[in-house]
Parts: sequence; C-alpha cells; structure tokens
Amino acid sequence: MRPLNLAKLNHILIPQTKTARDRFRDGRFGRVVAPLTGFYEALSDEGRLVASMAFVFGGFALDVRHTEIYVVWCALVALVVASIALRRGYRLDDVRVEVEVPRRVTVAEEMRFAFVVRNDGARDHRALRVRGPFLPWDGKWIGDMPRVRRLAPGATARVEVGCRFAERGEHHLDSFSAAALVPLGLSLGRPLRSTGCRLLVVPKIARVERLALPTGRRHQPGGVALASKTGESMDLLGVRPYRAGDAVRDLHAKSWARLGVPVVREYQEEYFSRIGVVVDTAVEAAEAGGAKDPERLLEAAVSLAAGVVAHLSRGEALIDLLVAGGRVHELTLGRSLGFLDQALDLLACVKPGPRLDPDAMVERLATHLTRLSCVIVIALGHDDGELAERIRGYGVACTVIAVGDRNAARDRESKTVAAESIERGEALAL
Amino acid sequence: MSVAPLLVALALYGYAAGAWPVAAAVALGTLASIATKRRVALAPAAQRVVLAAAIALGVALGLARAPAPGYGAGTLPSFASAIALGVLVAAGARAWIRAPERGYAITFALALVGVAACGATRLGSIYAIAVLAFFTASLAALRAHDAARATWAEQSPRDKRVGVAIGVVALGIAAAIARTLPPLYDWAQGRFDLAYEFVGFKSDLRLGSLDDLKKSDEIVLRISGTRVDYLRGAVYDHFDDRTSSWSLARRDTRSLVLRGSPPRDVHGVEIRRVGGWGERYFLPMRAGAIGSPAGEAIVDVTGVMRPVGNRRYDHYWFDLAAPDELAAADPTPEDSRVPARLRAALETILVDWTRPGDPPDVVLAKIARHFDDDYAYSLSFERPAADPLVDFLLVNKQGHCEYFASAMALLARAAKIPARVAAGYRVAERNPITGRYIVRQKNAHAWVEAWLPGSGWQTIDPTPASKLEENIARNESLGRALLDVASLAGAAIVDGWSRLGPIELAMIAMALTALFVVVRWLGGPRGARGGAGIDVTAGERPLPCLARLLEALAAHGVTHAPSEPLERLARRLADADLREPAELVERYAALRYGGVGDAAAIADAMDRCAAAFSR
Repeated sequence: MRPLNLAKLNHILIPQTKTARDRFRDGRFGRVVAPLTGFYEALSDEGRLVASMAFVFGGFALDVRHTEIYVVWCALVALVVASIALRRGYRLDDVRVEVEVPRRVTVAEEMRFAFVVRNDGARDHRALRVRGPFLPWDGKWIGDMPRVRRLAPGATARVEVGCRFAERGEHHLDSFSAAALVPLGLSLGRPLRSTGCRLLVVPKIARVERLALPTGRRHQPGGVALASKTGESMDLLGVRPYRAGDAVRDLHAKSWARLGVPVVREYQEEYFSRIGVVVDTAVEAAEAGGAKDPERLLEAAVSLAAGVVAHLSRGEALIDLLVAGGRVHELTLGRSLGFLDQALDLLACVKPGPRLDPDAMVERLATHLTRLSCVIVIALGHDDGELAERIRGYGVACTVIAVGDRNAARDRESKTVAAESIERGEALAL
Repeated sequence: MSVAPLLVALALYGYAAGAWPVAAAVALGTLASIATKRRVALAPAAQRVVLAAAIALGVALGLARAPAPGYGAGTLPSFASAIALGVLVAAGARAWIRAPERGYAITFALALVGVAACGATRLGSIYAIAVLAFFTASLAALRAHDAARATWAEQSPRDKRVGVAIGVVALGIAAAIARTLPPLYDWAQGRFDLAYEFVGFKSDLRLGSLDDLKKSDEIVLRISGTRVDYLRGAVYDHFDDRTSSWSLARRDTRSLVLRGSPPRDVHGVEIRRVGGWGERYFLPMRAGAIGSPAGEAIVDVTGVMRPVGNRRYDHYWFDLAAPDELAAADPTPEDSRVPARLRAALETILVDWTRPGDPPDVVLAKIARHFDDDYAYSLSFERPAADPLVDFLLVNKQGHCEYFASAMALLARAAKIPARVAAGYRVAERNPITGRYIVRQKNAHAWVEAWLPGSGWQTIDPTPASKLEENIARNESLGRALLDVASLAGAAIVDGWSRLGPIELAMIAMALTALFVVVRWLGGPRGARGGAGIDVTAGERPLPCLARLLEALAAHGVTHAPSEPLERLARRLADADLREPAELVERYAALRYGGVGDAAAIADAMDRCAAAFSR
C-alpha cells in the first residue's frame, strides 16, 4: 500500500481550477461564508493574529467573575472591530495592478512572480500590502509577501515574490491583490485584484548526453517539408546548367552572369529519422512488479522522456509521436519550432495510468508506425520486451529504456537507467 | 521600542504573582540584549530549541512559587503563573536572537499570552491600565518592526486622524463590552442555575415542575476506595406548603481545617469532581479525616460541607473509619414541623398505614413498604401546581425521588419522628476495569434523613430501588468502561503533570528537547512528495557555498539575477566555457531542490572553485 500524501489533505475540498473555485464561491455555501472570508481578507497579518488571539482567549474569558482575562479579550475584539469599521477610506482609487507570470516552470525550481502596481491617480498611497493567491498543496511561497512603502502619484512599483511547486501539472492560481494598510496596521483597505493566472509545471529535463538510436530501414524523404511545413529548405548540393523544365526561381544569377549560360541551384533532399517516444505510466503494475517507489520511478521516467526529447531536438531526428500511458499525442510543430515545449507541456500533465497492453498499443500505433524510423519505449521498473518485439514486427526499430534497478530490462536492445542517476542530474549516455 | 510591551507584561506579572525578583531578572536580561546590541544568529531549528528551553525554564520558575489566597497582588494561581512566566521568558529570549523566526509577531503573541495569563486573578483597575499600556506599546512596536510602514512622524495628517479615531473607538468598544459582560454573565449563570435548581443542589428544592430535571449521562464525580451509597450535597429542613418547596432554616456554620494528603488505608475514599459547578462538596453523612488542597471548608449544622469563597477544588478525600468531622447537629423543632394545612391528610394516611405504638423504625419501614407497593416511580406525569405533594400522596400516586422523599419526611414528622430531606448523588455505577465508582448527572437523588432515638440521624431512601434503574448498583458495560478509562487516562496525565515539581519539569523539558534534537538529526527534512524526494520546504536562502561561488563569478563578470533559475545559470556558464562552475551549479541545484548528492562534497568543491576564481 502506497503511503498517503498528507500534504494533499488540506486541499481535498478545494477545487483545482480557478473556474471551479469561482463557481464554488458563487455557490450557496460560498455566499454563506462570504462575510467570514471578507472579514478575514480585510485583516492584515497582524490583524489576523490579533483576531486569532481573541478567538483563543474567548474561551478563557468566559468566567468574568473570577478572572480578568475578559479585559484582554475585550481589547482584542475592540481593536479588530474599530480597525475594520474605519477602513473604508483606504481604497486604492486609480491604481492598477498586474502580475507577470512565467508560462512554464520546472518542477521544484524557484520561479518569480512579478507584481506591478501603478498609481494613475493624484493621491499618495503608503504601506501597500501585496497578497498572493492560496497555493495548491505542492506550492510554497519563498520569503515574505512583498510590501510597498510608498506609491506616489504617477509612480510604478514592481515587486517580486518567489515560489516553488513540487508537482508537475497545470496550476490555476487565483488573483493577487494589493491593499493599503489602515493606520494601527490591523486592517486593510478594499483590495485591488489582478486576474488569475495559469502556469505549467514541467518536469526536470534529464541530462541525456548521448542517445544511440537503433538503425532503422526507414529514413523519411522530405522530412523538413513534412515536418516543419515551412516550405523548401533542403540542403544546397551545388549548381548546374539550366535544363528545360527547371524552376525559374532556382536560377542562380551570379553564376549565370559569370558563365554566360543559365545556371540553376540544385538541392538535395534531407532524410530524417522520425521517432516515437512511448512512456510507460503504469505505476500500479510497476509496484506489483516489485518496484519499491513506483511514483518516484514515474517522475524519473517522465524526466528521462523530457531529456530524450530535448536531446533529439538538438539533432537530425524528429519526434513525431509521444505516447504517455494510453494517450497518443502527435507532435506537429517540427524541429526547432517549439516541439520541445510542446512535449514538455504534454509530459507535465502525465498521470499514473493503466498497464501497457502490447496488443492494444500496437493496434493504436499501427497507422503511425508506417512512417516511423524508430520507437523509444521508456518503461517503469522492468520491461519484458513484448511491446518492443511487436513494434519491430512492423519493421520499426525499437529500443527500451527501463527506469529502475539495474538490469531491469530483459529486451536484448534495452538499457536500464537508475532513477537516482536521473534525479541526481548525472550525464546519461544511453 | 520593541521590548516595551514585554516590559509592561513583566511588570504586570511581577505584580500579579508577587514575583518581582523573577520579573526583574527577565526584564534585565531582555534589556541587556538592547544595551549590548548583541544578537545570536541561530538556525530556525535551533531557535525552536531555545524557545522550548526558555518556556520550560519559565514554567518551572512559575510553578515554584506558591500564590497567596484570594484575589489581588501576589494571588496569581500557580498554573497561570507558569504559563505567564513561560511565555514571557521565551519572549525575552527572542530578544537575543538575530532575525527571530516569523519576526516580531511571535514575540508580541507570546507577551500577549503572558498578559492574558496574568488575568487569571483579579487585579482591578491595575490590570485594565496594564492591558491598555501593553496594546499601545505593542502597536507601536509592530509599526517599528515593519520597514514598509511610515513612522508616525511621516504619516499624513489624515492617517494620524484615522489612527487616533481607531484607538478612541476601540477604547470605547472595549469599555462597553467590559462593562456589559459581567452582568450578562450573571444573567446567563442565573438562568443556568435555575435549570440546576431542580436537581436539588441549590439553596431550596421545589416540587412541581419536571421541565429542567437533569437526566444526562455526564460524569460528575469519580470515586476510588470504599463504596459510599449516598453522597450528600444539600439538606433541607423547612417545608413551605404554599410554594411546595424545601429549604434550610438554619444558617449557622463552622470552619473546618482540611488535611493535606489523601488517605492510604482501606477506609479511605477519594473523590474527583469532573463535572458540575463545584460549589459544594459531596460527602456521606458521617466522614472523618476530610482533606483537600483547599485547606479549609465551611460545614453547616446539617453536616453539609461547602468551599470557602471561590476556593473550589476538584479533588477531596475522607476516611469512613475516622471520627465524624461533619457532625450534624441534633434535631430542632424545625425538623418536626408539619404544615397545618397538610397535617390532617398526613395523619389520615398514617392511621391507614401504621398502628399506634409502632416504634419509629417500624413506622418508617411501613411507610417505605407502602411506597414500594402502591406508588410508582415516574418522570412523566401531570401534576397540579397548587398542591403537588397532596396530589402525589392521595390522587396521582406517581412521582420521582423528590416526591417520595418529601412525602416520607412529612409523614415521619406527622408520626413525631424528626426528619428532613437530603439531596446529592446515589453511587451505583462501577467501572469493572478500574474498580472506581462513577457518578453521573442522572444519579442526582433525594432521600430522607430521620432521627432515631439511640441511633441519631439515619439515611432512609423511600424511592423504590427496583424502579429507579440508574441507581441500582451495577457494573458499567465494557464499552463504556473502556471509554471511561480513556478519559480517565487523559485526566491522570493532566493531574500528574500538575503535580510535578520544578526540577522534574525542567528534566522533562530537557529530555524532550534532547529527543527533538535527536529526531531532527536522525530524520532530516523529508520531502512533501515522498516519491519524488522533493523538499518543498527546502532552502529559502542559498547555502553559503553557492553565495561564495556566485560572488567569485560576479567578480569574473558573470552575474546572477535572483530570478534566474539555477539550471539556466548553469547553461549560461557552460556556454561561456565555464564548465566546472556550470557542473557545480547543476549539482547544487540537484542537491538543493532534488535532495540528491553529498552536501559536504558539493560545498567543498564549490568553495574550491570559488577560491580558484578569486585568485
């Protein structure tokens, strides 16, 4: 039985997307608790501390005839109530806020949110407090929320706050807010809110230094044209005399001028290896197979897949297909046109899936296998080589990289990578 | 400015606990940190250890002193004193720490708890003034600790006006609430006491209503030692037939000095109150060697014991074999008085039930037998408010223990036997696991005490025993017994803790601190996501080795912006042909955010690299 992730418990009842959270807030329960949340939002950090202490002391202050703790309770309550009651004049009129968020961030890597406040009004604002949204369970703010001491008319303040996310995936965050601190520092004026933001936490890219691809019989002609869809960009082979039927646009003016006869450029078509990457996400199957920490293996496998894609993106190969679990994704953007980002986005959202069924998988890949040169299967724990054999049956070369213990792979053309090596960022020669 | 609230709190503690030397020592220790301008830089874990040790020291010192009885200066109870001094010493210790964890807010919270704990006794206007001074100083200190806030002098006139307005409004609200709460408390308690009245533990016992009769399972007393059937909490000798209520006519009392240690012999009985109000002790009719931490109690002429003033203690004991210290006085004419309006009816019943010349004990036995045969115990009946007792005796022959007790007392008086009504608890339930007896609220009971020549006051229970299930002697069911044991264990822990002396407390604190350090040392930080081994709490600040390397690189012209991820920096370094630092930064990132690698080795390599760049 896998251990329960206690950190997630806090967030079971909180919807994951901002839309769902907004729906919850607009719902009946959300409207009922709105005054409470409004009260909470209206308090500064110090005010929340005072209110919390008032709540705690309330129980001890009940016996007003034998103790005097109720005097402290009265003072706490009075300070909070008075601060809330007199906060109305501290709205941030004519102030605009904006949040700059990176679209992608690597898991466990520190990222920075930039919060920009601009005062378009004529009033001086002092002591602004910035508040970030409630983070999902895997998120953690780094350092304190920034504060702006003064925002003069016409001035812009840009503050940053760091954050780190521990789990891959798409994260929907609520809005940031800025509010002016009311004198005595226990409450805030009406806050200004930014729009919500969305970011993708992508896996770490494993450091794949070398990747030996099996020799495939198929090299795809017209690779660039088909892959990148940017028109003809084949290698220039040289020039030759014009022959009837040659395209006029291939005429090489300088050579024609030098030789006195029409000369055209001649191109040679490129041939690319077109590759498919299959990532096994069967965590439960890996656990059944004896893997001690299958979720860790999945993270390492996803990281390795990112590393493989990144490595191939630097070479002469194109990744046409990315299969994660049971889902087949066609990468259509081509070399150097963002397919690494596209692949990272897909890998960011990989979840544990069912056991890979070789028959079903090959059937689903059948239409794609006809144009692939090679398939790389990244397996969890161990691999029995069955899927690789089926793929090879289509005339497509296949290599298996098993993530797990040494000698986890049984296929003849397979390799094994220890999860620790991937996590440690070791250079991998596969 | 930052220590001003703490000094106010310490002064208040010194006054409330009468412990000026300790308060002054802590205050001087705190001021010394300001005077010497020395602060110690500690890691968060070390700060927590220091904080725990400071709290333990304060608690031990707070428990060491004995409070004076009553209210006023020097009367702060030991428990409150321990809390107050514990948190105040911890707050003082934080003054010595450079950049204490979570900033000044925690110091403020600790001092606030100390101030509140000092309110566990009554100090009058001194306390209110101290609270006002504390909050004024605290708000100023909170402002001083926030660099993003303007000083009072820098604030605009509008902000100053609003600040003053908030203070004035808060003062008004606080005064209004503080004035309203005590009468509100009295009103609420009055209503609660009315509900309590009917079970017979107030100054009178009124027949008639059933609405507020308590029948809950709440445990009120736990008893260990010899079984005692009846525990008296109130005795009534005067019956007012117009209101159908019993009260105590005599008011004379005497003081009783209580013993300080629980009994050790077989006749000893220990009682712990775990519910109810504690406004009276529940004891058997004859008890000796009575003891309690209270030290003193008041005993009235009927042998009922009450606490002195508000010195209520939940733990008391007595010895059944020791000479009677409660010593109920001999009967007075009030114990034989029969209301004229009822006399005829009562005598008619007596003629039917007894024979002239029956000795007193026989008369009482015959009355009890008739109750047993002809009357029913019931909690659901309708009864006219005008004369409930006559209705019970002659018309609707059902009622609860108060009717049976009242009827028998008046019938006995009509038969020339002095009698009165006693109220308290019937002890019936025993926990088979602990062997202790348990008294629940539903065991509240009323019975008769009759004077028999040669025997004195005797307990006679006219309520048919077989019909009052909760008062039949029995063992608890196993499930309830287990639950009871669990709650008893919790109470024992609290009780055991309260008995510990300062040295024992200090030793426990040291042992816990050592355990905490060992666990931290052995366990190390664990990632939030165990599978990935990622530590989301890992380092808000870079390790010194990275800082040194970045400094060396900066001197070499390679600067690192705080927002630049380390992986990107590593790539940039590799592109600049700085392969060694690039690899080291990558290894550092893997260690810092992936939790992999040997920290010492990486730090050493980075330091060597930094040194090479510096040269």
